[in-house]
Amino acid sequence: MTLLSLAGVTKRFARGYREVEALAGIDLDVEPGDFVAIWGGSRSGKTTLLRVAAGIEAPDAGSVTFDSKDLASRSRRDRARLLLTDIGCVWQTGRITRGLSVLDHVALPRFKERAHAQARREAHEMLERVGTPQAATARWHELTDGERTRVALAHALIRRPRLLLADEPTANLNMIEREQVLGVLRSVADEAGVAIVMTAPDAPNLLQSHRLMSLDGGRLIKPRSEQRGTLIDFPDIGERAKRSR
Amino acid sequence: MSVKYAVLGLLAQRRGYGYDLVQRFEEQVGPAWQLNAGAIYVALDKLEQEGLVRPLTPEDGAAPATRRRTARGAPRVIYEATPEGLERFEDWMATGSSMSPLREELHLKLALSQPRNLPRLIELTYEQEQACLERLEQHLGGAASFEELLSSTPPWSVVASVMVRDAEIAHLQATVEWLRRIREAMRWLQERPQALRPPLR
Repeated sequence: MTLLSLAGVTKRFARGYREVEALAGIDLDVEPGDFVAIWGGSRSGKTTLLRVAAGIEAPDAGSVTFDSKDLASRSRRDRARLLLTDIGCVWQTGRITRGLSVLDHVALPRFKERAHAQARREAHEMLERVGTPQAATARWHELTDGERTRVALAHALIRRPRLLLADEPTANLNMIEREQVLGVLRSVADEAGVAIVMTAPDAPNLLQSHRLMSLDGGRLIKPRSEQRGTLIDFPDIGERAKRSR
Repeated sequence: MSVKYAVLGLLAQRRGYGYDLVQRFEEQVGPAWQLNAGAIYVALDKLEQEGLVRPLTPEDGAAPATRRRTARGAPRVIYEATPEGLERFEDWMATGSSMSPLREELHLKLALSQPRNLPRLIELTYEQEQACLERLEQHLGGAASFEELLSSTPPWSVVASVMVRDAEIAHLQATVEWLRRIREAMRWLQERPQALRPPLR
């Protein structure tokens, strides 16, 4: 059963006097246990794609369905609740919770359901799993960018989400750390059945996933194996081609 | 031409027959080379003429193997590298490598295109990017990553094959980045037809 489904998702932004189409008719279905890697350069629309998939931004056209329910039909409160439970996000700007230690920030999503000591134990385990156990006792300013990213990943995974949206989770990591993080993502997809949509800036980062595609100029380019018999569709090209004749 | 030295190198590792060499080539060099199996046999003939490899005879004590037959019933010939062959292979390893020219059909189409081809050219860049993704898909979940390599002590053959595989990944990445650049440029031009004046005569 499809967990996350984007159909014809379009998103426009005003940039000065011009309007940019950050997403132009994105179709994407993600099943539980799917690990999808999206390859996009800067300004390709990849962060917007994840924000729309998370329900943080509403698409201008098209629909986003999570767990067979259109996000647009859910209340704001309901969407916010999803982000605390079923959907885990890792953003590039590594968000922190002010006033909390690194360990408590990671444990935060579990504080409601668990005794604090238990939640902190889980946070320790999770930090170890993502390869940065030393972060548990560090102060925020002592963390490197790579450690911050992994703290954010631990924070996202500890709630046991059904969907993980990760925006360049391998940024600022060296080759060994990168493979470790990709390995964790792959194993939560394979073993826990978490659906993952990850963005990546280059090819080596894509190769631990199950499916790869490319995002450029707001359009998703998929290998033929992805297309299930239909031809890749570029509506604007067809139209421009007609006009230019 | 370099297939000749690759065959010589495979025989320097250990003796082998034609089909065995085809398989070992695929295994060690990878699918990106798109080897035509016939090229191996051509190379073997040439190497034999030059005295760099020789077929084993029953006197070499390889009789049981040479008596094996191929599917079509012809006797299977097993080759080994001669001392001159080994020396030539070492020389080849020590010399610099040539770079093959970049020859893609898309480059020709771009070079010979007209402004009126723009919409189709943009579409071609998408198709080409799609083709790159398909090639990249073959490397999904690849057996060994550099991480595994660096954290253990793998045999050299594994390190070598991962490095060769990485060459294709690097090439595909560069191609996709190039496609995105020219697509952006062509889109920019498409939105500004005045920029597409015909060349001065």
